[in-house]
Amino acid sequence: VSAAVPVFVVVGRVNKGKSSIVATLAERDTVPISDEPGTTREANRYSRDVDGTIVFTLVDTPGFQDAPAALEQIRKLRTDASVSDQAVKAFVDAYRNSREFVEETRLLAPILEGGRILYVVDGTVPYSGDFEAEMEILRWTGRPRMALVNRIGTGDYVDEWKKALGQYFSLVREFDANRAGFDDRIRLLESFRELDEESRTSLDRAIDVLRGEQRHRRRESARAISTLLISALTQRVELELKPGERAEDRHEDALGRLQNLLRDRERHAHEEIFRQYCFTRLKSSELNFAVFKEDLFAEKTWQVLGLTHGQLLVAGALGGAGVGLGIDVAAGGHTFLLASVIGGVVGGTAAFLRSGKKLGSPWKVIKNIIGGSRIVRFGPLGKDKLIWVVLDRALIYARSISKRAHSVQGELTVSGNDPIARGLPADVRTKAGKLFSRISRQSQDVPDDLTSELREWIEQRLEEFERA
Amino acid sequence: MSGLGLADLFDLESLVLKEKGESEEARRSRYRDRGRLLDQGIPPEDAGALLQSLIPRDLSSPTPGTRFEAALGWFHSFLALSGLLCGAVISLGLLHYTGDHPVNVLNVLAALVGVQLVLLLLLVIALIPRNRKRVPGLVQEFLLRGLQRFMTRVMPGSDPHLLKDLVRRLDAHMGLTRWLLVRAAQIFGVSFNLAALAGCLYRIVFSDVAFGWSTTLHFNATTFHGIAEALSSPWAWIFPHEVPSQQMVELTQYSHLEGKYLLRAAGDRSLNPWIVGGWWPFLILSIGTYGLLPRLIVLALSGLRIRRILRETPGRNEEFRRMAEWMKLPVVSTRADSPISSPTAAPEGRSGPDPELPPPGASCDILLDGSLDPGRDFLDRLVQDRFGWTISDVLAPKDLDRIQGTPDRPLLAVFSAWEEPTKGRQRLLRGLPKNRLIVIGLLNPSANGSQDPRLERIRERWKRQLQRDLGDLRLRVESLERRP
Repeated sequence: VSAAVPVFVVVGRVNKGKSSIVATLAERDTVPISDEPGTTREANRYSRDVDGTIVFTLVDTPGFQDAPAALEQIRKLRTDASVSDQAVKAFVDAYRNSREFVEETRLLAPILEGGRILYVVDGTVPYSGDFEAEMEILRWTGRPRMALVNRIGTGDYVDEWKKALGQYFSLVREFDANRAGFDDRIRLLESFRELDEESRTSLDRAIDVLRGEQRHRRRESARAISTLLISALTQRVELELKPGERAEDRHEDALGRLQNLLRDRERHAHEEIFRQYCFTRLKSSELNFAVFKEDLFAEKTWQVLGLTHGQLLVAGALGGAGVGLGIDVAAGGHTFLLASVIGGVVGGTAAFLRSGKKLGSPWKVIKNIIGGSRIVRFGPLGKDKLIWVVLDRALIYARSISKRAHSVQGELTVSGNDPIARGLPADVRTKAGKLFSRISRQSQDVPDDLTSELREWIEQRLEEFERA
Repeated sequence: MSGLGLADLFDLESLVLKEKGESEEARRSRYRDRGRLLDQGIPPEDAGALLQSLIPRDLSSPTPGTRFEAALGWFHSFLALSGLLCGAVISLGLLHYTGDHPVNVLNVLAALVGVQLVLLLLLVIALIPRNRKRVPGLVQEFLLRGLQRFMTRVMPGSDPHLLKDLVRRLDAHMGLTRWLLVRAAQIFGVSFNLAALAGCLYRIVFSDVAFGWSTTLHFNATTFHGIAEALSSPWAWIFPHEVPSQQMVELTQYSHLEGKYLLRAAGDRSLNPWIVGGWWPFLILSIGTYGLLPRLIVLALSGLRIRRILRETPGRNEEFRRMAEWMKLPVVSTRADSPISSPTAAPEGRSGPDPELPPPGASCDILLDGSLDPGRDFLDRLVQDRFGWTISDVLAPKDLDRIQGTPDRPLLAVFSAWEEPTKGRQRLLRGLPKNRLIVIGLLNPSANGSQDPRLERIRERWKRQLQRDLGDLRLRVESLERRP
């Protein structure tokens, strides 16, 4: 790691949210975080890469366990007031392999290797004087340092803390690791630049890239949602009817299949959103269809080798007519297209009889034409109320995820009491309704312009959520 | 922004299908690597150029796209040749004149103009923008099947399902398949009309064709003249003399039964050659105006449309947009530089009942943590209220050597309720006499009446950790909150 790549060593007393800050800034939900003090026993390094090049590194450290005693030892090792950092180094060297001051040596080592200090305190508990030993040790290292006032609970002692921290740190910032959105993270990175000039270039690049990445995530999430909605609006299933069976008899079967397909697609879309925002442990809740009364559209169609019976007939007729036309042309038009007409009739009849052979006897074909179709196409599922529910759920997930800090543990709960779509301005909602209507009239391969229009509509909503 | 070629589009679609099922991270990383290797001359906003750079340009091994485009070229040539052949055969056939009967103008108009007008009308209807049908129409289905079969040859060994997808996806690009079909049809149409014109001119120049018109229908010369005049209106302002005159229409009405022009005497077949041959400019201009010209216009329109589709697709197609974006955007990731150990559960300490508290009225010593300074009066009241004890002495950590091993007097070690049982505090407790009851009193220095749930959890951790690490001491953990 070159000197220009800043290393931020996150230090503080046990259980003050150091790992949470690292998880949030590193956008990594796998950083071990626990309510139990002393979870972090080693100094763990997390590097932010841009195209394989490290732009900054965060070091999660064990918390101070006995700062006053450590300070006392350091004081003893100091020979001259001007070489405080040498005393700290001597302390680390002296206790590196000892069973004493294990945490203190581990947290100080990366600082002495050139790390910048991020000292974390909890602004929701009162300040007390025994924190001064920690701050004093950090000051003695002589490294650039910043204090971060985290908020773990509900109390508010931030002013008290700021006053105390101001005596030891040139920069004091508030940062709620569990509630920090993207803009808060960027603001914090921007304030890191004030620590020293050396890290500025690298951090500028990181900030610039992260901003672009955030836009990309939003766009990709919108794409995942639009793909889901298109699927809900166009997905159909084809079922073959047995002799004597009616389309209505297969309704439940078709409904079940379509619901399973939609559930799968929805889960896939939600997971895609989680992945975009680097959440690896979240799961989405399952869509409950019980509240919807589905009335599927059933489309009867004859199919032989992918062609409807009507298509086969017309195809045969056209083929025959084509041959006949050739004869007409050869005759210089003197046959008055008679050959074309005869060719068409012959071709159509042949196609009809041929399709009959594939399905059984011609009589069976006639019977089926009179009696109904063999293949019934059911769907789509996503119409009326359901599509709005699917949209709402996806938007709620995307909104929650875009604002969720990676330090937050536990499941992501989506409340059904917050219908986003209903809260949108009428013209925005109408536009979505029109898009749904246009898409539902398409086959599964929706034209590019409609797909991108829907994605843009969703992306605009996600952008609004982030700004709100 | 650079547009794509048809071969590029085809190749990119093949690429998308080939990479289907591959992890997105792997794809993104690969695209970014390619993007970084790109010539600096390609502006990042030029999605078309970025996408084109993804296609291998090896002339020795043509891509599926170049093979597709080449095959399409052959297909167009075939259509052009077929059109030329048909146009020539039909026009030569229609204007075939043996001298027995004149060439029926109505016949020529029906075959070369009427049919084309009907076809043109159908084409206009087909091009009216509308929603695509859920089930592909006959023409579309046939076209798709033909394309699919063709692609099986162009891309041997490919999964047929992927090819089917590829064919289907082509039309999603703003109806590309439809426009390719329109263009192909116009190539045939233009060739046909050119050949028809050439055939007609050949007959006119190299033989003396006599024209007439005859029909079984009640169709008088005035009506037919009206129709001919209406048909001539597009060129009437440029070539006013090439509009059939009323006199020519009347004079060239022909009867097959009589074997003569109606206004001529029986057996008298001679008529002014300027009259019987006078229909030819009208016929040539009709074929040119209603056959060739619309085909040329539609051919140009379809060509422009296809170019527009190819130009706009990189920006409109979601998959292509992503590919271009992946090439431009740096990949951001976080990596742990060493294996991260998962939090391990602390081993359980000894479990057993807490030692009994002395009864009210007992006296105790206080060991006050350095961070706290509640004042003696406050402590007196607190200890009296909480335990009913009196305070004998208040000591600081630095006074450890003053603490006596008086077994009957509890030692109340007061710490901030917000602090964890750190090693420093444990070290302090370890220095206390083992024969004394030590009560850890956790005091919230800023108690404002509200109980923070975290305090309960911290107290539990004190209990657990001290039982585990200082099991040899007589310890008990208590909250120093005032009881309600």
